[in-house]
Amino acid sequence: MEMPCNGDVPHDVWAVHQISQNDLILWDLLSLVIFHVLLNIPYLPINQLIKTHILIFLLVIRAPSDRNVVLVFIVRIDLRSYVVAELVVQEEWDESRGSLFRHFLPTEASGKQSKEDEERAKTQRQFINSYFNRSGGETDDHFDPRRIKCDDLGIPQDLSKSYFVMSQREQQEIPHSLSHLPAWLVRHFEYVIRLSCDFFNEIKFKKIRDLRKSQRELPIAERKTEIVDLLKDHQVLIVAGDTGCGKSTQVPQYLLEAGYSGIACTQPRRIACTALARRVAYETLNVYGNEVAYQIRFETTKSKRTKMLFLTEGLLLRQMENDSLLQQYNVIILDEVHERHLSSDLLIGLLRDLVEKRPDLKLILMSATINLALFSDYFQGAPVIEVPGRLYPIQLQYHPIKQFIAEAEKKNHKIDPEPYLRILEKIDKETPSNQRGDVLIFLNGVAEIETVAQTLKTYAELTKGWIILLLHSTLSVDEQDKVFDIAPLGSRKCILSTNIAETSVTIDGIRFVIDSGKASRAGRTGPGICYRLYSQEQFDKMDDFTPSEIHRVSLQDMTLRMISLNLGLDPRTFPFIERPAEDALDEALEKLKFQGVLYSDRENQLTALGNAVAKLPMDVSIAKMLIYGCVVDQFDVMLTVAAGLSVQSPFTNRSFREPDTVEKRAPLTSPMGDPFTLIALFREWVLQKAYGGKAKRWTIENGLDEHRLQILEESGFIEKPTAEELGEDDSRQRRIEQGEKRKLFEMKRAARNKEKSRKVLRAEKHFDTILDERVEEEIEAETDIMKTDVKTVEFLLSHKQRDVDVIRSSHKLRRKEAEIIRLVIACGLYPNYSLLDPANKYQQGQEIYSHSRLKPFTQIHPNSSLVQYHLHTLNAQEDSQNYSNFHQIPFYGMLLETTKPYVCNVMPVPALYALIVAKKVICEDWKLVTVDDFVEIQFKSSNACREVIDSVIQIKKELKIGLTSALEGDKLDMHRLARTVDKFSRYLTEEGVVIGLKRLVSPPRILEDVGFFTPDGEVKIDDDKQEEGAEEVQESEAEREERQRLEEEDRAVRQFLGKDPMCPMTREMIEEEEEIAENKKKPEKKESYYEKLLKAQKEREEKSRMNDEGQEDTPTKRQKVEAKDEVLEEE
Amino acid sequence: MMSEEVGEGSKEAETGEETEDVTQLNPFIQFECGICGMKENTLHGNLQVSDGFFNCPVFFVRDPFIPYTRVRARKPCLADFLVLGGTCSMCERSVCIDKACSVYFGARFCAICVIRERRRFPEKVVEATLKAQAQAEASAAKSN
Ligand SMILES: [Zn+2]
Ligand SMILES: [Zn+2]
Repeated sequence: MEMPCNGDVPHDVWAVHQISQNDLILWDLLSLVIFHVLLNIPYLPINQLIKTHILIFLLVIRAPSDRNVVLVFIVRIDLRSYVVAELVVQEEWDESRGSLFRHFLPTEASGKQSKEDEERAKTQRQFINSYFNRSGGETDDHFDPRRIKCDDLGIPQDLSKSYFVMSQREQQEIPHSLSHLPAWLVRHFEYVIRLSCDFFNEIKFKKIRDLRKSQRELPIAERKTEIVDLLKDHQVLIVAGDTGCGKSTQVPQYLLEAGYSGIACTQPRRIACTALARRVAYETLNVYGNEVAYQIRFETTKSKRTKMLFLTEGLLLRQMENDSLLQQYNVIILDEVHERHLSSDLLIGLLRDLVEKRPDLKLILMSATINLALFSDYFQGAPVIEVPGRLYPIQLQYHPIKQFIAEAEKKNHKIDPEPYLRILEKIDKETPSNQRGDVLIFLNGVAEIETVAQTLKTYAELTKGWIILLLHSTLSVDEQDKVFDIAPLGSRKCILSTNIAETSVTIDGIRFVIDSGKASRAGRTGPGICYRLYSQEQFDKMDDFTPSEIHRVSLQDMTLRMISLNLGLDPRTFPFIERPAEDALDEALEKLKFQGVLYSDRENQLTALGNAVAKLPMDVSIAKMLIYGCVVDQFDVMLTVAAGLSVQSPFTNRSFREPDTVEKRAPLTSPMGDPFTLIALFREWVLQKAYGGKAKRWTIENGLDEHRLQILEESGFIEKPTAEELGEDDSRQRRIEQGEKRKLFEMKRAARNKEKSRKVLRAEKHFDTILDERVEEEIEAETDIMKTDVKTVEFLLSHKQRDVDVIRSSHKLRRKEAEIIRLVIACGLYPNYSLLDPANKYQQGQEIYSHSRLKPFTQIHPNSSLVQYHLHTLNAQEDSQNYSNFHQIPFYGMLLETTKPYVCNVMPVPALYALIVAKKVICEDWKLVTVDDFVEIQFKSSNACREVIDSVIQIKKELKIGLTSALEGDKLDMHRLARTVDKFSRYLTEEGVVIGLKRLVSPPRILEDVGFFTPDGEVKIDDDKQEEGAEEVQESEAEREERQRLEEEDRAVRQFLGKDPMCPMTREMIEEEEEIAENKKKPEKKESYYEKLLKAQKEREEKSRMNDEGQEDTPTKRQKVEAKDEVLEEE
Repeated sequence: MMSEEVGEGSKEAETGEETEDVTQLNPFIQFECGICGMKENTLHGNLQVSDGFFNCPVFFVRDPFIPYTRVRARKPCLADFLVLGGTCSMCERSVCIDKACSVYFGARFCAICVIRERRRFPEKVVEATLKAQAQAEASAAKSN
């Protein structure tokens, strides 16, 4: 078909003009119009003419051009008629566009399109619509790319707009459905589609140009070639530059570009690992690939394609245990070494050694400029590249606060939010709201952040111009991620952060930094203003150096890690970049001996227990707990408890401020302490996930942080026996599982990609409500089984039906199990126990104080479920002489020093349990027992004392035997131990062993002459192992009967227990009761969420396959390639 | 013709879930603009997808700003890719699509060729190129 050409434009030309009131211009314009029409140039420079007020409605009706008759109607109208005029123009386009869009850009069925596709299609329609609305579709172009005639150089010889568009489309016959439209309009439409493709491409191209430009402008960029060149000839390189110079984001890219692979870059913080991986992936245009990945404790995006891995220092250290030469890496970058964490100090020492053993290995140390000499002295001969940090013109403004207090005195100082508020006001006043720019405030600690945040939020609600966000390490990852989202137009985000954001985390768009005292080296990506709430003079006095962790904390963890590296390292002779204090080192070694991790009589040697402890990636106490959990056959539960101890609380911080939520979740908590609350919560959550499919809603309603529960769930990955190991596998089963897995992987990928796109923050949603929107989304998603989130998918991936069943049964604790579990927890937590202050008042809202051996006057954290819901259980109701049979001592998982020392994750146990777990127990007269030179227990009756001590010795021995055999790989039946413990605890409660409890003030730091001493002499716990073992086997027949008898008893005392403040009924017990009552009235087996999900996925696939078959008869090459890809990806 | 499904790094690979040799295969080449010096790792070839194509081989990557989703039966389209450059049809220099470096006018022409052959190009084309070059220079001068 021939294209209509210029001369026979077959339709009327419409145009709308709006011009200035000035008549001269008006007539100029009119003559211009007439001139155009007469000369047969339909194009009018409309855009430039649209100005104000008066509107000229120009109607040109033209007969076919060969007759050369032109009628021109010029109508002058005012603005009120404008709408009418536009409608006339719009009408024609409106009439034809429907069929044009339908033909060329049909709307895809929703299953066939991703959300991004839909959005893109929408933008494209907008682009095309506005093109035609703007020009009225008026042009003299022929739009026929096939008409193109080129000269010998390939240059087209006429000037069609379409030649300028690089995106091409196959041009087809105009179909019947469009035959009623002018062919010219159809071709014009096709041209605009092509134009829109170019337009999208150009936007993306510009984005990359801008990105590259900003990279080039980083101070580090000037040294790029130098860095790469130096690394060719040197094994070790030191890059020193303050934050803002771009070293953390750029140096990895320089290496990638220079062709290095197997690059590891360590970061002190997990958040920096994920943030940097994201940033570098983005800058290398590899956001959705895995070339750049991160690895943090329970999570990794690493794959075989990964060339660049960001990981925590601790993780790299652990990798050295199995791969002491770090063969998997070619380049190691230690970033932020100036922060002087234990692990980085250790890595520096180890890697200096390693570069000598591996001449092919490259090592780059990156540090701020402050401590530079220390590192360059340590690595003699290594070239140093020093980069200035000031990246953008930064204006410094000093706003000293009167009550500025030096760092040292700051502890008890309550922060005043006022100055921060003033600065926000100042910004509002001085910066037009259409100029973008966000605020970052540095504060010391969570308490300060929360105080200032409340005030600023009030201001934000008033002005509606701010979104207040928080960034600190106790927030969930979801909450932390929010700081990267973009503030909506017309408002700014204000991020209140501890210094975790100080390094490596780059938040786009920060323009103002408010610094309260510590040197702020904000990761800023543009020029800005830094408001300092102190004077220049004060700033000059500030100490630049943060003391290294070695000087600040216990070296226990580090010495253990050092020893367990099996590299024959001696903490006392290790070539530390700065030697730790001799006595601190000694104390650490002592404590490890104290905990039974190191042999007390051999240098730097792990005991069997110690070996097991060192293999677990957690604190010594938690690891011990897990191992004992294994001994008593409660591994699954202990995994939950152990993981739970590393999170402060399973509840979201904000939920504590919501009385309704606090009240609602009371039944979920356990009077036996926080670890038991956690077990119950976790079990409930798993069941909600597996059966309800409404876990999100459930977590919201109860104020639970799902990410923290996730950590518990992930902990299950530790050495979980595979199906094969359990002997439950057959090949058919495996095939089914693989198929399911593949589908789930696909969903996981889709879900993860969805999460990666950066979102725009919702106005007027601040730190405390920020997740609501997302939560709403997720709750909604739960109703649609296909819109499932990453976590759920991952959960399903890792948990098969039977795992859920395992958790369901293992986390349902009966009294006897609960009893042994709390003993095991106490074993692990020891020596973290404390004595309640006699002045405590056990009433709601009271502060409860306790004293631990080396830390008197700590407060039980008010958010502990124990303090919130079960305070009365701590009350010993002692008589005037301090005697009671209810004395308890709280063990705790964590000592948190914020505004004051708090103990978290608290679990009270009967005071006499101390005798079982303690290292040093002395009883000289069957009446008075001292524990660890710290607790004095006065028995009222010496018979009771004997009885107790006998039981304690028996339990200690059984525990020891169990441990030894478990570590040797033989697992004994530990029911006997459970029974002994249970008997002991019931003896304590039923007989009512009355004791008095007294704290010995200032116990010695190091315990000497440890052991278990009775008036009969020292009791050796380890000695009679063989005997006991033999006994164990013989007893097993009688045991069964005994167990049945005990279970009867168990039921019988249940009633009594409900009233027992030392062990009230747990939720599980009540549940158990109910179950017995219902008696085998088994509910119909519900279809699990997992099963539903797989079914839905299957249906969807079925549908899309049918669609496919309908559309394409022969498989195209594309499909083949795609199919192959899949094989590579998932098999 | 090169298929749009090139073994690109943009697939999420589960550790240990794929065969070894794929990881060695690197379809990326280094593209460098002969005029502005822009350097990127890209794919190179003819790009032909469901809703369009390019006249000559281009340097392209999968759109790095939009997640790579595999919706079954959804055919790849132009918008899934980002074209960074092409080859000058006169001098065969690799050039980026920046208006200061090249112009698409029936085929891709690098700025050097456009200016050299300015008598044979329409005035509009030459003017646009000169203008873009002047702008690029001005902004470069400003940032230095
Ligand atoms: Zn260029
Ligand atoms: Zn050229």
